Amino acid sequence: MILLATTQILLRNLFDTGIFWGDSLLRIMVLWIALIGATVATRSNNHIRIDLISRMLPPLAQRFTATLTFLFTSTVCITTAHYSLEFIRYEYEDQTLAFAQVPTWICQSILPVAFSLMGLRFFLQGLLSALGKEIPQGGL
Amino acid sequence: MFVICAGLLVIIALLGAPLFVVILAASILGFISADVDLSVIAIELYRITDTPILLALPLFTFAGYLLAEGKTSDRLVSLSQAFLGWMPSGLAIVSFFTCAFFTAFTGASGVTIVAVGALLYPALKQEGYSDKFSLGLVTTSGSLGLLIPPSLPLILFAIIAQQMGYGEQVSIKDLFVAGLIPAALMILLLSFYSLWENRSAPIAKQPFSWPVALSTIKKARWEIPLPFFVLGGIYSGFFAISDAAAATVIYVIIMEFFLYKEIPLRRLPDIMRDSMMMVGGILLILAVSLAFTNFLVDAEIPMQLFHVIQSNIESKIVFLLLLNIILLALGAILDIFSSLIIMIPLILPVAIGYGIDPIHLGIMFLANMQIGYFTPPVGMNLFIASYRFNKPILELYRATIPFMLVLMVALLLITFIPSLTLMFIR
Amino acid sequence: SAQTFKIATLSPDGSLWMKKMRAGAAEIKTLTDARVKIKFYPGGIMGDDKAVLRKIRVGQLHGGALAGGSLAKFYKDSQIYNLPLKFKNYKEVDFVRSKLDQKIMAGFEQKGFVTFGLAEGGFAYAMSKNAPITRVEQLKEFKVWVPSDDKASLVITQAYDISPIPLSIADVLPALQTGIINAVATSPIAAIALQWHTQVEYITNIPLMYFYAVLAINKKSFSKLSQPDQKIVRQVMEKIFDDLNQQNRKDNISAFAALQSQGIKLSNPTPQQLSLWNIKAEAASQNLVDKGELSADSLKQLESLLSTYRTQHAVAHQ
Ligand code: NA
Ligand code: NA
Repeated sequence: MILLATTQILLRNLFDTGIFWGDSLLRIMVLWIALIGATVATRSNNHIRIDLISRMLPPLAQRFTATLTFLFTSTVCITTAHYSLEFIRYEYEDQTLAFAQVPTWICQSILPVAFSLMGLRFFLQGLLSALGKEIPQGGL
Repeated sequence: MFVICAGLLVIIALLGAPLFVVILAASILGFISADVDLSVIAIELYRITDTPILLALPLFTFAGYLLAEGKTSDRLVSLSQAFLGWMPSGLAIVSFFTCAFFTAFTGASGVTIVAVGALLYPALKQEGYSDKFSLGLVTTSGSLGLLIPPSLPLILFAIIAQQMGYGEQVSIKDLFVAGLIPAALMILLLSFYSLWENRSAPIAKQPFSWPVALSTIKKARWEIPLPFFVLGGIYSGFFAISDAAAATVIYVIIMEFFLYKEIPLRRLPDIMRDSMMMVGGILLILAVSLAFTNFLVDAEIPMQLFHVIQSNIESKIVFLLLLNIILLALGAILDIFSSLIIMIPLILPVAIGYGIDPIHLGIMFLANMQIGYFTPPVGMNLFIASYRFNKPILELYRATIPFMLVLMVALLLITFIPSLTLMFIR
Repeated sequence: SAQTFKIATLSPDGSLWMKKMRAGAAEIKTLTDARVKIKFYPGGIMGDDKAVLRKIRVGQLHGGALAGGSLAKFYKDSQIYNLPLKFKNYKEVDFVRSKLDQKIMAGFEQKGFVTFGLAEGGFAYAMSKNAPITRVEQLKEFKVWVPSDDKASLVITQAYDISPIPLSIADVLPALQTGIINAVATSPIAAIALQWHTQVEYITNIPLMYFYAVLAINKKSFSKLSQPDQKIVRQVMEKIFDDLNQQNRKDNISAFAALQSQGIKLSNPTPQQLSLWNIKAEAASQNLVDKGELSADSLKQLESLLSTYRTQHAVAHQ
């Protein structure tokens, strides 16, 4: 994906091909890269957090608060996914085009998809931590 | 009710909920209390596609990861030891300048940290600077160039002032000149701090010698053209920022995989995945911050805050001090463009009423915003550095505080000695 | 019943536009005994026209000061004034507008937006860096900015074989500076207000397109007001928009002169060159009709008004 973006920009500079929707596409690709990257980061639970209290808690309390936090996180993600779907529904009804012949709603569809996947994964991680299982940890 | 919700959110945050979720939850609660349809959040998230400068972020991040994977920082260290080894804090001082010039173009969007900081951090540590100092340096330097032309926030300030009818007092040219001495002052104070802080650090001194210098140049022969190519290309107007980012990626791929042959090609997918996760983590926080900013704007909270302060001021000095405090707070919460659009129209007429020069105000404003980028708890650059260098956020708070204090001294000097900004233009 | 309208604008607070709008809001508040209040979100803080329209749709906002073309997806013929090279001068504009403004406002209202008159944005002129643009073929060599995702501008740029670079307004100045783009089409006041004039060296003396802005309020919310209150809001805002319309005319004329006094060179195409511009413009207008972006009737009406005016004008001259 990053390579595709690079190729696009180089094409424009070296050959002046000037695809008028090239920039729109690239900016939408940034959104997709961001949300796919965030979804992938969720797999290894690799998100930025200000984790002050839980380190100091005893193991059982840690398990409890971790479950709670995961379920809360999952709820927020699913809520966002739900309202993103609403947003897309409007756009779908309007049939607006983002660039070339691509409708805007397709460009936006990554929003509910990514947030649903993240919500689902956080939910599973919540279950895992309730059962006292190991959660895959990223660096943070 | 509001206090209870806010308190619960803080607890959830401290228990380790991802930051983006905390901000998102705050926006959701805010919009519910303001009776606004929650699909506004999705509208705001989608607005990151309106920001072309962000295109540079994934590309520079990827290039930064590639360079970090290779031995570039080793070569950077030997190069800097050969050329700056005689000079105390040589690499630190050069780092300040490099970051500042890079940020002047990328507008402190975090790109400096992922592209330049990622190289400087290991290099600084390798030369013997402490981990804490190195971390603090690369994090704070990520917003150091905001006052150096042609930084976008400077331009935006001029545009707003122009449309408010202060165009004659605030020309872009004057603003560009006005920012130079304050920017230099910041770098100077940071350099002094660096000298003092590292007075007993185990940094090897090395007298300059031509043979050593030439051999390090030879080793780093493929990297040396890169900064000239990127910065030169951008400053000459040959490259747009995003183009420069793309060109950098191509250049670095060729350099690492075909010239130095340091990274096996099969590592490429992993490096891509890692950099994509980083970009995702950062952009997601940026996007949800847009949604939260929209709630603050909808509820007119920054405006109310300013009116409270405005109605409680008696003197110019108190006004300036309070202004700095409120701007620092805003700088930590809002992105710089929203802050400019919301606050400048409120502040400018009041400031002029106190006899403050609009250009002086603009520079002061941006100096505040610059510090706001790494003001705990929510300065954006703290998160970016936390992600990039794999450090808990608390460690970053600790590392940046001394730098913040130094820059606060600079800020006070800029605030109370107007001639620092105005000497060449008025 | 009481109502607070939340309105977004692109002009920053403290600008002339916002001062007048705020004065209008204050007058409305007084005249309706605070039954009608207006809250402004200036400076584009709510996003570009597209984002504002989305927020109007979900009810966060009730209205916005929008470019006429931004509402084209609701009422296509609102783009009729934006057609390329239709007007030769402001006199033609005034004549046509005196006949068609009412129709456009009625069109908006039918599609769910109450408006209060059209405020002139002025003529857009081509302004370029490095080299002047006089011949139509030269456009191909420039990286031209067009407003993001505006269908009419896209069709037009295609007619002129331009590969435009769409950017949001805030990004145009840095893009000019760094060379992402090296030509823009905009009005003299906008060029100065947005500081684009610091980056361009040449201005081509062809009024490329005429544009305007409206204050559009969601009709559903507006209808909640009592009839007398609706009347008050209309009267006050129509007065303000009439003022803004006249003020912008004056400002554009003086800004056009100011650009030249600041060293931007005016380049005049020869009559032969101009006729090539016109041929392409005709084709672009026709293309919009063919693609269903504009009704054939509206185009015909505009053209007949223009030819009526030009005949009268020619007669008067003799
Ligand atoms: Na900030
Ligand atoms: Na922010």
